[in-house]
Amino acid sequence: MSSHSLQSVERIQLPLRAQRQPQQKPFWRRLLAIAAPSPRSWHGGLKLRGYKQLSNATPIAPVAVGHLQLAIPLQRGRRCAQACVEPGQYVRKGEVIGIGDGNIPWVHASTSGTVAQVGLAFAADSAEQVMAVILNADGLDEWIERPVLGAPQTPEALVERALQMGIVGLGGAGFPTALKLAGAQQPDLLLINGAECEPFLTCDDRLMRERAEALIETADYLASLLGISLTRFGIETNKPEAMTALRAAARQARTRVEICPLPARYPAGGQPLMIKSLSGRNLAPGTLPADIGVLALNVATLYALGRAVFHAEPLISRVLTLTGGCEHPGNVEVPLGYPVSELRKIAGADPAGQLTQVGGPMMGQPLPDPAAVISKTSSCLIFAAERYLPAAEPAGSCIRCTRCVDVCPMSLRPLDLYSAAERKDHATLQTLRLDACIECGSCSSTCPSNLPLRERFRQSKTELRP
Amino acid sequence: MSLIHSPAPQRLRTLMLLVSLCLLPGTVLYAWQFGVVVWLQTFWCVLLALGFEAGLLRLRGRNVREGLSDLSWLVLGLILARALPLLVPLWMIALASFAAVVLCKHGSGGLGRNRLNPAMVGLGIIAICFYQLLYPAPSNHAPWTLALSAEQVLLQQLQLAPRLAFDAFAGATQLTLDQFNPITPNLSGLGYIAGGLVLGVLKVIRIEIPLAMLASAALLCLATGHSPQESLYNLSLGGFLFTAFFIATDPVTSPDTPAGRVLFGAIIGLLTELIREFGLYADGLCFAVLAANLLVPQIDRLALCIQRPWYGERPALKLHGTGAVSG
Repeated sequence: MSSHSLQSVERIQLPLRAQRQPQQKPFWRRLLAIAAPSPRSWHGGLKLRGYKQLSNATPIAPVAVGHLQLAIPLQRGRRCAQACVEPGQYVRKGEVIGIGDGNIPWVHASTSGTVAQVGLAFAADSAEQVMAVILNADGLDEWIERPVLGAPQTPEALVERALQMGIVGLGGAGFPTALKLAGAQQPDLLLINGAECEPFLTCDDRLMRERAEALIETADYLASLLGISLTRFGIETNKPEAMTALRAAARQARTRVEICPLPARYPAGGQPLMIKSLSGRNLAPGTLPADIGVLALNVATLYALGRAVFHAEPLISRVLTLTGGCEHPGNVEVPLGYPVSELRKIAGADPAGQLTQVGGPMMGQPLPDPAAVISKTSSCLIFAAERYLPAAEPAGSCIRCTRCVDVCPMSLRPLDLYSAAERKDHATLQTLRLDACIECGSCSSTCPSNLPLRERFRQSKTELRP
Repeated sequence: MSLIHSPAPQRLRTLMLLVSLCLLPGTVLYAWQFGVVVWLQTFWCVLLALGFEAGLLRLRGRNVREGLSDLSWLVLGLILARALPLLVPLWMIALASFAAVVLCKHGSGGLGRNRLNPAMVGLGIIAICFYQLLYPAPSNHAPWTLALSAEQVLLQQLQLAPRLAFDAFAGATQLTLDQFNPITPNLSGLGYIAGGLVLGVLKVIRIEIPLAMLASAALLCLATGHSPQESLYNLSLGGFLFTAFFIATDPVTSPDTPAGRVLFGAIIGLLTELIREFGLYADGLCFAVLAANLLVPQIDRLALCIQRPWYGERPALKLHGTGAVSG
């Protein structure tokens, strides 16, 4: 594997000179590109209506907690931290309330108050109820005494810090960052994902615009600690302000951090595609970025890591986009465990709205319950989403129009995969590389017969899993 | 409201409606040249396709309203009407519709599952079984049906009047009306090209199929010693343009990859020319399309072997044993 990485490093030096945006290539160069595609380009994807201007104009606003009842989720998927507080116990902001073993990030109180109980609650982006610490906020929002800790000086210390500060991937997957850092065996590339290719979402955009210095500082720190030679930020070309802000911050900090444009094409932020666009390396299905010498982090994760490293501040809040049918769309910095119903009031959501979408319209899901709370991985709330999203229609029959093949960024054949999945033909599913599917939903949303392709593939993946 | 920025229609019904609309210019021009018989035949074909489709959906226990809402019967009826020769009796139209909808489409499991083009199956069956009754049909060179009134056409279609003999008829009316002009231009072809190009721009059909078809047929003509004018004129004969833009492009029965579609179009073009040159039938399009349809799975497999995804090795298709994986 190491020889492969070395080769790749040599190769990526070449396209450094031509950091041009894909759309700006002249016509004849695009013709040539069809014959000999660049190692950094990928085929397919969708041009989506952005709806970003709805919420990207105003700065990130803080949210006051007041005397609400918060439910701070302890669980994410199969990873569940053990609650270490008792009902009736008084906790302060930043105090540890859930402890995990070696690979479960710790959970912290996002405000001060009294623990009511440890029980089940709906997190905004999980279909089932999860374990949570239910906390009655006292409205003081009082911080715990934070020890004056310096930035970790060894990778091992950094891994421990990330775990104890509860850092997880904030892009949506929620993978513990500590495991990612521990798994990265001498990476030579640090790629920061600021693509935010989903429509409506602007939280990463605002974060990059407003907190560019902190992002650059953290990226620099990570690169020097882990011995990474090249750091790149990937940002979709529809966010010129974020790119300018980061470039200015990088210039001021005199670093070698590169700000690279990504094509404004969904799903440019999908991990294999982002890595390919930024480095030309191919992330084969079933392998981790660490295997090809890449450490890939989302910008929001990087920011949270920076707070943990330099300020010993655990992950207790996140930037969330409130958008769609509401009076005050924008981005808010919301404490974890904050109820969605309160956010509806803050945003002035249209009471006539039927559907609230959590996450983007492509990868997200409808709000499971009106009483759900914000978890670490909820990035966006789209109120009255039925006005913006295509209505669900009954599935028809596949007419083999092959639009799904055209748009699949992973060069799969969704129509054949779908028929194999319907037949439960597991051998064919494996031959057709179902494992490479990134579940971006491009095929489902382009299908004229409204076949539930992505949902079927998700289901088949769980069936195939041993 | 759709999220996707794309001119292509995003629902199956819109797609089918668009195909029907794009068929109209060619049909109108054809009716202008050939008279009311074209409209009557279209009416019968659409009606029968609708009837058979509804009946079959009901027999198969499907939701009839939902099944009809995709408008695939409309497209099938319109295409079949234009594929069948003019002035065929009604029972033959019914037989062709039956073969297309019942045997081909629903016999293979419904929309999207048939390997053969339904309209071509309908035409093929009556072309093989009733060859003597069909030919000579009115050709582009002699649009003598223009003089027939709707009443006369109906009598012919319902077989209540003796069959019109081409020679007698030509002697009686064509020459007097001065329409027996051997170079009557194939006006409807222009309509089909226009409709096909609109569909191609909207990405409803894949334009590489008609292009490959036209190119291969013209090139074969050139290679066998015809002049360039003859080769191009050859493309306007019979239903070539109609087939190229509206029948060969049926997504259900054409290959899935661009390379495969080019090969598919080329095969149809070549076979058509061979049948026209050496075969029994004046217009071999129907058999060329059916033969190429049968080759689609093989073409798809071939294309799958050539293509490889950008990550990792090529898909482990068991074509050459284990050797394929190591490449």
